[in-house]
Amino acid sequence: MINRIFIGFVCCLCCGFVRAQDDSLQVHKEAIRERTNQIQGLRNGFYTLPALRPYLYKHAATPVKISYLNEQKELYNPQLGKGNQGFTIATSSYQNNIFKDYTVWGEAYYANYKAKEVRFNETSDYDLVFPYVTSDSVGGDLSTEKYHFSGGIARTMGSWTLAAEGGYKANLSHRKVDPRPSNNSSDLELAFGASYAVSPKYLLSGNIGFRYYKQRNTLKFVSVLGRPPVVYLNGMGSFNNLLSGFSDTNDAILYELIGPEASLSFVPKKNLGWFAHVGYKQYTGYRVLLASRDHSNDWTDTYMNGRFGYSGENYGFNYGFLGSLDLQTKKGREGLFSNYGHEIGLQKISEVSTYRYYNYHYRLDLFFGQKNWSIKPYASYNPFKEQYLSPFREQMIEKINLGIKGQFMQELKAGLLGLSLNLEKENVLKKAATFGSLKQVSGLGDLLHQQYQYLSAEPFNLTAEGRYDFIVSDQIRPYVSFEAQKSWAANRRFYCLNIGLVF
Amino acid sequence: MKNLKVLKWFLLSVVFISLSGCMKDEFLDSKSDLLVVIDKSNLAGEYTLSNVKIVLQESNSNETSELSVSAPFESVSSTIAYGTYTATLEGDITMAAAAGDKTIKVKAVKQGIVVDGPEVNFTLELFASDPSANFVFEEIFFTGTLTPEGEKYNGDKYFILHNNSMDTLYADGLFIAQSDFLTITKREYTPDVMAEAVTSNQIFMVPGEGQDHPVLPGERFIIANNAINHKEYNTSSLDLSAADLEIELIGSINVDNPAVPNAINVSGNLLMHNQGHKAYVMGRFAPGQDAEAFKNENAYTYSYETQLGTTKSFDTYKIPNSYIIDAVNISVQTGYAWNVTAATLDSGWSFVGKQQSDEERYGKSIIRKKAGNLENGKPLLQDTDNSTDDFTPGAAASLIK
Repeated sequence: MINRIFIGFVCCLCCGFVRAQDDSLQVHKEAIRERTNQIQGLRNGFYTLPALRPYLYKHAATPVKISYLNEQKELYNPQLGKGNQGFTIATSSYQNNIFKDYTVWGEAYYANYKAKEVRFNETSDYDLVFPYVTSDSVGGDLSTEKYHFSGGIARTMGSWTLAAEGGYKANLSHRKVDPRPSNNSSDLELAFGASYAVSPKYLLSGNIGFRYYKQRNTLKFVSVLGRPPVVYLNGMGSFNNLLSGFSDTNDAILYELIGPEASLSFVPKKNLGWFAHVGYKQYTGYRVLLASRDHSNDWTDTYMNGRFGYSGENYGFNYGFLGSLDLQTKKGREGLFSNYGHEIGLQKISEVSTYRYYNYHYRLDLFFGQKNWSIKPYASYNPFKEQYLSPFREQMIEKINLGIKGQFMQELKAGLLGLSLNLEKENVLKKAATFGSLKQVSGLGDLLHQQYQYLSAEPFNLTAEGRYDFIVSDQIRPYVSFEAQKSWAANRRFYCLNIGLVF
Repeated sequence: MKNLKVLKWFLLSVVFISLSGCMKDEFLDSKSDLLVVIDKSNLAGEYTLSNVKIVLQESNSNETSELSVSAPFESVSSTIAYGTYTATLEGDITMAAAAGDKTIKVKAVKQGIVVDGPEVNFTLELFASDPSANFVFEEIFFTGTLTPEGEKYNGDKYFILHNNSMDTLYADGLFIAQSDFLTITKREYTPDVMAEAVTSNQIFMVPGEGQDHPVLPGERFIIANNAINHKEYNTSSLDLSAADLEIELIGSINVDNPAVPNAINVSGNLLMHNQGHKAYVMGRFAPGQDAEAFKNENAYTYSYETQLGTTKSFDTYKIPNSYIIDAVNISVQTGYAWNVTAATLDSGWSFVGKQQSDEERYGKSIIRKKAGNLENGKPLLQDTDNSTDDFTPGAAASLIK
């Protein structure tokens, strides 16, 4: 069913907008440039809010691509796996010229991949529900299908722009050998915004949004013998002794996440000038396990971000800077239960605050260049801390990343070639870890040490990207692209090949 | 100008976000003030406590914490994280006795302690626990009774065995023996094996396949001479029809109650000496050793020289001390000569009669003293391997109502 919906949605995006394309070669190249130029990419980040979408691109386009990706790494977080291997079909459309004063956009993708050697995590969408995942020491490859649809519309009325956007994601994951998780998640996002031209040059935009996420998962075993212990982690290898050990039932473990988003942006209408943005998101989530229908865990996940930058142009040179900060703070509580004197089973008696997660990023990008080339040196500072109370466990890492990315674009007779190279070195400024009182459940101590080793690695990363857009006919404008990455120290190898058409 | 103002606000916001991104959130205080009250009402007699510790195990996290309790061992306080706890107390208790102190364990357990508020109080009820505890003689009623007419009545004697441990024990295979030697007459027996064995040719054994006669912790196992209601024949006697076992006496005085299993006579017919000039031992044969094998391997001939200079010899059995789990020497208060067991088995002795042929002895027995309560509230009896300390002499037989 979800496949048919996806195919229908992609057809709508492609067919509906094909007739409206401006078909000159030069315009096509401009449309590609404004989507792939790295300096433009920094600016574009400000215009993805619904009420600023009319100012995102000058030219409409609808790219469709199919991608194959493969990743392999030797130093990794076991809960996320050794890398993904699979393919995606994706499309997006941006139309600002179909109806006067209206801008519409949409995106859809289908991803089908295998997350390799995932251990201590039988739950999907780790980034949303961590550290509250179902864990066993066996794990294995996890087959995953993801669907995503989103779209929005904005209307400009004089100095005002009003906009709305909605999106839906689904994630279906399973494994066909023991242990056999079956995870289904739905993720719904809605956003509304307004922008106002505070001057002929600048816009002020406010956007609010709402997210509702739900996951249902089961874990079954076919083999009666040799089942590993199943525990429900509460963070940093800890788990509730009373709640763990239940598996292979028809009941499901449930997750729910809900929360608002809000942001305020100050941007120039035409990409040049000062940029500023502040944003705030806070999600509250909970988990319900099999042993009790009371919440076993509740958490709040808070994201704050700020951007401030300037983009200028003189004598054909583009230059500027962008400072950004992204602060994620997660605070988790876990239920305490009693199994004495209650005929109905476990009874929740209290909840305690036990988990803290801080992941902060401060980054400065400088950029300069001309139409066909650009250089972007950057530095980032990433303090990270994760704590669990009773028994006290903590890992703390402060990292600094230094990098430089160069991009070269060359117009050829029949198309546009883009190449880029990014060199980055990660360095640890400070690190410390305390893993007290680890329980004798196989591998959880190894998990913590492996995660710490991964987080405190100091790899040198090399990323190369290339893209060639060309025109076969007025309606057939294909492109091919690749991305390859090699990380030393983590021994990570990643590549992605894309073949697409731009309508 | 207007644009610059807006920018300033944004910059201020970014600075605010940056400052608010502090990694120092405190965990909420989820701890309680704990007061543990220690109830010692189950302990009896003179004792001292030492090395008392309480282990608190939280059920959710399985984490444990430990509290040390110090004199006067009334209470202990601490702070404790929220959760559901099991508190286990363990320590040493040294019981005073004339023959020397005996140290065993003192324990207490409380489960399902819910800690979810600012204060939590609970009481731990101490009980004594002897890790080496086994069956002991609780009572030996060897004197018999008198009829209203003043006639001696012998069929109503009994032993009461007591499970002094916290495990269910099985009486199957237990033997009880009456010593050959008298505690009122000291002789030089040749060969002298008293240091390593008890000499007896009156031995009976509890039948069973191993688990036919379970005795729960703190419970009794009654062995009657004749397991009948003796009140039907002697109103001054007692009802032993509910006994767990009856001894097969010599035919002339044996009355069988088919409802009560009979003991297996290993050697002779054990008829308790009605003045208590003997020792009684209880034990188990070596693993795999049956009664015949015991007799074959432990046949013993002893002799002694009489005052007239003649030598008397007797064939009997020697029961190795290693087989014996409890021993009681009984004598007469003014006639005691010696113990007929090794001091390692019993370093004291008890009595009923104050002198030889004491006419006041009937209806009285020796009863082991109570040292406290077991975990299940049943009695823990004193067992210091010194019958002088451990028994109340000349007590009224407990089964006579």
